[in-house]
Amino acid sequence: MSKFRARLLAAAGIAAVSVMGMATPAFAHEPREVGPFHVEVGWKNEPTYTNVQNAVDFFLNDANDKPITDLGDTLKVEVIFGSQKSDPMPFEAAGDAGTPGEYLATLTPTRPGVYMFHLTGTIHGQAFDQTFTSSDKTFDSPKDATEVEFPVKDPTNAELATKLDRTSTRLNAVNASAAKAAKKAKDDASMLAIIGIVVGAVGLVVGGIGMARGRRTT
Amino acid sequence: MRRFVAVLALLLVGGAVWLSPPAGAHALAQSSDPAPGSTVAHAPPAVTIVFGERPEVSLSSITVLNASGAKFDQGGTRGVSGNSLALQVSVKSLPKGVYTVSWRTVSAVDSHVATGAFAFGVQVAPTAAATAKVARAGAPRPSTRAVAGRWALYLGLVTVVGAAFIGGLAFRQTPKAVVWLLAAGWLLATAGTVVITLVEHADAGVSWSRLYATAVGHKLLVRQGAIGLLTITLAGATLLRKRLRRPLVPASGVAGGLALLADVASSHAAAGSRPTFNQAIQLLHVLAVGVWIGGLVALLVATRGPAADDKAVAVRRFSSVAGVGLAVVFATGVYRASVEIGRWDKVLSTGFGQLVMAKVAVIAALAGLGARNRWRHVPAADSSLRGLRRVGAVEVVLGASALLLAATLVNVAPPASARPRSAPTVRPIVASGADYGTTTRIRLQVAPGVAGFNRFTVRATDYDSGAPIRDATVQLGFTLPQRPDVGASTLDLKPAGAGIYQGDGANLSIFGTWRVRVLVQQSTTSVEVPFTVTTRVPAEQIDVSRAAGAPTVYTAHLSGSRTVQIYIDPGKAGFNELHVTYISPTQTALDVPDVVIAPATAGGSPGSPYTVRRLDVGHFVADVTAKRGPLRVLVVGTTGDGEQLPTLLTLQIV
Repeated sequence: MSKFRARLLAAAGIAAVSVMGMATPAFAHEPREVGPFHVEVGWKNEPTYTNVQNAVDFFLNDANDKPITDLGDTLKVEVIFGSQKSDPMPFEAAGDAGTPGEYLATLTPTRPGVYMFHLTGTIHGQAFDQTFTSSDKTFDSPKDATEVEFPVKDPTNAELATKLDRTSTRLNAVNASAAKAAKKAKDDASMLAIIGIVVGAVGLVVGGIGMARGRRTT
Repeated sequence: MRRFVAVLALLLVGGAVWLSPPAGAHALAQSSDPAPGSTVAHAPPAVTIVFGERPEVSLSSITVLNASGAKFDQGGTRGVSGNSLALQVSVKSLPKGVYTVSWRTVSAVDSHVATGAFAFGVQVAPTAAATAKVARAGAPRPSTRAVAGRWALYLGLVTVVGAAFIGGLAFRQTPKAVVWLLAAGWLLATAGTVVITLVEHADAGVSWSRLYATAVGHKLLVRQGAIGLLTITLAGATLLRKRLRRPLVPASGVAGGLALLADVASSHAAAGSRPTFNQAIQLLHVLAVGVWIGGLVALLVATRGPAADDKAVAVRRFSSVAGVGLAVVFATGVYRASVEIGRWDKVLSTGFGQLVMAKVAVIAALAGLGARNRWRHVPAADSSLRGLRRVGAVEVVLGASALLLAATLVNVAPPASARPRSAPTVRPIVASGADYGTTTRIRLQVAPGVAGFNRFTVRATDYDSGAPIRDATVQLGFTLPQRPDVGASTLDLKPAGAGIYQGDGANLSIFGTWRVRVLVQQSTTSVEVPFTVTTRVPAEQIDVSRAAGAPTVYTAHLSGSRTVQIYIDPGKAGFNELHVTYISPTQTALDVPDVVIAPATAGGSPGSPYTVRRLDVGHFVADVTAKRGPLRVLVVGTTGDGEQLPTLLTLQIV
């Protein structure tokens, strides 16, 4: 990694941390009744910003709305973005960071957009397979943090990386084009030199023939 | 022969009547605010309709009714300052519901009546059924009286012009029969004028005195004045001795020409673009018809009896001029038809076009008969006039039929004026941007860009190649930073072409500067491009009050019967004070705690705000340094409960 790129990424990291500090936890979750369970799913921290550490937040209660605290590792969540799917991630009890019956699967969303949480496994031996999609009516779709950045709106790591990639691609294209132009110029110069030599040689031959004829006539 | 001529005349008259289409009339609605079938978020203070021809304000009306028929317009229909084609009516505070706007116009140009209606909704969309039920525009088929009046006028004036030409120029001595023909023409023209006057009075539906106070009445007066002048010259030509009579015959022709000019000034030629040029061409057309057809009638009357030298001379003189007249009629007629019809596909698909084609056919037949006379009977005029008279009689019948077609055409809306013009284009708000990573270029278009419903169109392309980005999920996010109490919202757009995504929504719910995030999500990545969109100020009714020695006061009507009075003092180049006073519906000062006043672009985008001082409750003054010319300012007051009251107006700095 170049020094410049490392500095840019470091600056972005600092910005991300500062945003994390500013982010106010909110509570926009999607509730559902699934069999004998009452569940709620969302992001741990909302509004949700990209490149800020977050977690899939899962509340599990029984039919009497009593928290279930012994989920264990039988339930996993896949996070889906577009055509990409994360590895299944286990839930861990929130413990002191949350409330009884709350489970977290740590995740940092890196791109803004619509996310889906696909929860599969078993709860107390009962099969559980539900998909939750972020929206206005459910839970946040992560967005770029620039709108809450102050005083300077710094780009995210992903944006910097993308820009560097794009810039590199453009530079490579420019370099390739310049090299091609230089090669063409060189080829043209060589061709001109050859033509010059040939023309010179022809001139010498013509001159020699002329001189020979001149002597013959005198 | 006589039977043939009579049958031909009957066929042609019947054909003209059969072809006569309903008149689309002329002052037809072209656009309106609110637009037909539209839904507005806030009740408009007035309804404005723009017509294709200048309506006579005092003879036209707009009515606004709710679904149960209750009347909501108030204060009468008025013109719109700076737009002579528009009419406006104030409306009471409109509660949520669907409203019907009915209009009736009398054209100030050609005096024709047009009617129409359309529906719009306040906070509720008018159903397709409601819209279809009331969406209509047009006028009844032209009345027989109106067509008959014009026909009589044309027959009379063409006869007068032709008889004056033959009597004054073709013969050395004006034949007595030509003078009597002049009198007959005058009689027809006078009868036609009387019928036209009665028809226009009936159409206007007002008293005679009120009618004569309008532009329609003024045109009637001019028409009647020209007939009066013709009466005087003709009386001289009839009653005076032969020596004095001679110059009055061509003078009668000139008076007849003036009467034709008065008619041209009330015809389609006076409407639309380049009216002066079109009127000149139209006058040339009808004068040429007068010389050609009217002259032929006079020639036939004057050459009755056996052949004679002076008759042969007159026939040859007329024949030369008639050829020129035919060429002028053809050239000017083709030009005028092309202007009025406008498009080839309208030639046979519209009643107007069909009438024009029928007229062309009659003129072509006339030209053929004229050619037969010119090359066969005119050379034989020294010895026999029999052939000339026989063919000439048929020509006269065809000519009268052509005039009937012309009289019908005048009462029918030409396709060019009946075709709704495109509504005044409200330019959408357009913004372009790209993501920081420079992968995607976004062009965001918001139409019409006002608070309330808008159409959002996003064009997403690759930053480098410009290739459209397909198969993406595009979502807009809306926040109003200055009003945190207004919730954020999102709008999903649907694909509408290569790289184009579109959706309708009321996300820009109130006036203000919104932050709009465009999210373009593809299968493996996504970008977000932020934009700032300031909604346009909706069109408001603004009254202008001018008084000598005092600044011009502009009163803008806001929602809820509130108003804001604005004036600039002294209104001259240099330093000025711009006063803004908000007034409640009870005519007391309206407490508006905060006002922002800024110069604005033509589209309403604000510049750097002026320094504003609060003088009293609802009364503010801004320090404005202005240059000579129009000064566009945006005034946005914010009420105690956060409602924004925007006003956009143009002041004149002298």
